[in-house]
Amino acid sequence: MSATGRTLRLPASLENLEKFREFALAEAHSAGLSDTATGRLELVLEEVLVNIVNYAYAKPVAPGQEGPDGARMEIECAQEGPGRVRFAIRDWGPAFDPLAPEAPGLEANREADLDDRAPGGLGLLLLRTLSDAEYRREAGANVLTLRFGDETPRA
Amino acid sequence: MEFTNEKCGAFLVLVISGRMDTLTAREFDAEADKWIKAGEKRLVLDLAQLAYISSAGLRSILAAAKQLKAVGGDLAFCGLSGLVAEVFTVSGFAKLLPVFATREEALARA
Repeated sequence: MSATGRTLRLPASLENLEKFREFALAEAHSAGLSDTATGRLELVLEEVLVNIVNYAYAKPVAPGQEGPDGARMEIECAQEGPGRVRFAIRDWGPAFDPLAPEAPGLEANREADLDDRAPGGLGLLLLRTLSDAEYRREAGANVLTLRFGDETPRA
Repeated sequence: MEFTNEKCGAFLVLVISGRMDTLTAREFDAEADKWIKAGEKRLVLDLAQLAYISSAGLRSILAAAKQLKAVGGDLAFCGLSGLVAEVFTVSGFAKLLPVFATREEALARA
């Protein structure tokens, strides 16, 4: 990632979602990202961060707590030219690739009718569908790179 | 999230404005629960004023739809646009649940 990117790192707690959102929206605004792309960014960011809060660490960090050392999440932003922006989201939990092919049951579930349809699995589906994302494991961290702008695929 | 409501024949139209996300979805849970407990069986959610919905909001909607079906009712939608419409399409909710372009169409049902 660009060494000049701005970074926000905070305890992996739901109470910090709003701070990450404000950070990302300010970056999107200054990059001149379209309203459509900004909406997708906001959505994908929420899905990824909530996933980190709920699953990356042994216990979610309770509101008002610092949590154990390392129970953090981070967003780094790099502007990629007019109307385009790139975010790297990091956590230090066990390796987890949110872009890996989903379990077959999840796809079948989306074909189920109301009686049989189970909740869950939609956050990662929205991530995969509405963003241009890449995953890598690097120096003990999960790094998810998200690009938004004109090349972002449409649903 | 804010709610206004209007009774139209057998239907209760609930107009939802604001954001339905991880932090606010339970406000919808409480609102839907209130009307279902009051005996309303056919809810129409008018989402024209809803700016944002995430998977947490979808989870709440799925729960409400199942609750209504269990009492012989249903949950329908109208006024979707922008990101909200996109999320309904990607998630398959636009196929799972009755979605109408306008409130008039949502109410013109048996």
